[in-house]
Amino acid sequence: MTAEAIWRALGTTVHLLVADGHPAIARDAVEATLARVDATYSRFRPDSELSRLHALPGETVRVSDLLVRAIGDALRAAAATDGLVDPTVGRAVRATGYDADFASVPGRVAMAPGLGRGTVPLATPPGPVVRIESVPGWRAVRLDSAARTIKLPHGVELDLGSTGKALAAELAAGAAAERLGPGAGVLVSLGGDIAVSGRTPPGGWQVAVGEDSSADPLDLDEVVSLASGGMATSSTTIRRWRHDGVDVNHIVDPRTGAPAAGPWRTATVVALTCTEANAAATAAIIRGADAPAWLASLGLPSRLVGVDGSVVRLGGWPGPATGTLRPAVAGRRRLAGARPETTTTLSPATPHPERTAA
Amino acid sequence: MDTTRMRTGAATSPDRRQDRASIDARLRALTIAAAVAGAAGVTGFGFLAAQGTTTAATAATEAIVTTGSTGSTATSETTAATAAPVLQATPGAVAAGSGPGQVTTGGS
Repeated sequence: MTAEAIWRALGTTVHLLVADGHPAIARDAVEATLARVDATYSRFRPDSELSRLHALPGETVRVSDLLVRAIGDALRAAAATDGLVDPTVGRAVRATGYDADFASVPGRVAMAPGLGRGTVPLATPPGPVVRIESVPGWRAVRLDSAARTIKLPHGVELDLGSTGKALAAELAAGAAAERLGPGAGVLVSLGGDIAVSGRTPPGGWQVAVGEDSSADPLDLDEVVSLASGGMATSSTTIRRWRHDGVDVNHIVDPRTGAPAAGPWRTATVVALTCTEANAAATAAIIRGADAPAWLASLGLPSRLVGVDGSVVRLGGWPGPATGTLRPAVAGRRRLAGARPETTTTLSPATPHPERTAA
Repeated sequence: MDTTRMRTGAATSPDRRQDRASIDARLRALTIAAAVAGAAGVTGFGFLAAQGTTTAATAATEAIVTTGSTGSTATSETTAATAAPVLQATPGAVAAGSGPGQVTTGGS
């Protein structure tokens, strides 16, 4: 039997699936983990451990195990992607106007403070321009995992939003599975970054693949089965806004400090862990034209959507013809409209009954 | 990140077959060296999980010494070096769906 719960946390949607376990116990574990993550490395909370670290540039600071893990994963992601997924884009991201929880960002037109290192045209001249910040580079961060110390040079701000969310999904899924014990399986999705832990249900976890993680999975035609590891999607289509008259998105190319503007608008990747999948998907968006060759060289099952809507599948990603189409029976559809905070038990015989808000 | 750097003796193979064998041996050793990096405690990013890493490290080190031999004295040393981690796939992790979608992946 599979149960699910949906709620908001970390500025995104949490979707929890539990197979053969008590959903309330799993949710408690997930919520506790996400609260710890938020308190540790949210860049929007002035009282977070990360914010306190930012306030001590040039100093060697002893930090928690979780922050060491989060920054360590971010640095490893940078190394594994030739620096394309770089946590030191913090100031550059903020310079584009993404300086608060995203719910308050859309439509921003005010200039971000403290800018001025350069301007780069993001539209054909004499169109509007957006000011950018140069990216210090991940090698500027001094992390000593054994001593649990970090030293950030002056002017370096970390944005762990990419790998940090994926890591949170991993930690939450692991914590829930541990609390439930042997025999249970857990899937945690944080805004489409998916981690699984514990027992895999027969046939695997059924994941609908789209460009908006808030879409009802029953409205999407392409479904894949995830048995292990992690899956993540990076996209320039959802978290975007206008800043100084320019359309920008949250994925910053550390080579330029400007929002990514390549041929791919969405990348979905499956890898050994959700964090690795996230790093690969984000790097693919930034890498641009040679992303398919790069992903193929790594053997990562991937699905890329071009800015023209064309879809490329590679690395063993199943073709669309073999996916499972949406149910045709109206009674099996989920409630229309926004997905409310719910906790629903799904029986194996009728995997998707119309659900009711808890 | 801690990892292992292999260094072999200055053996010179008398013919190309032996050269190829030497290269193959070094490649095998380097592959195992990557496993040692995981055994050193690094989690995630395709490296070995922490559980059981001591045994893996021991076996890998022994293997390096063995495969590093090319007919002359071979040595190995473990040093602190920086090696780029690798994003790794999990074979069989994803397949065609077998039912309606339960959750959606996408941008957020």
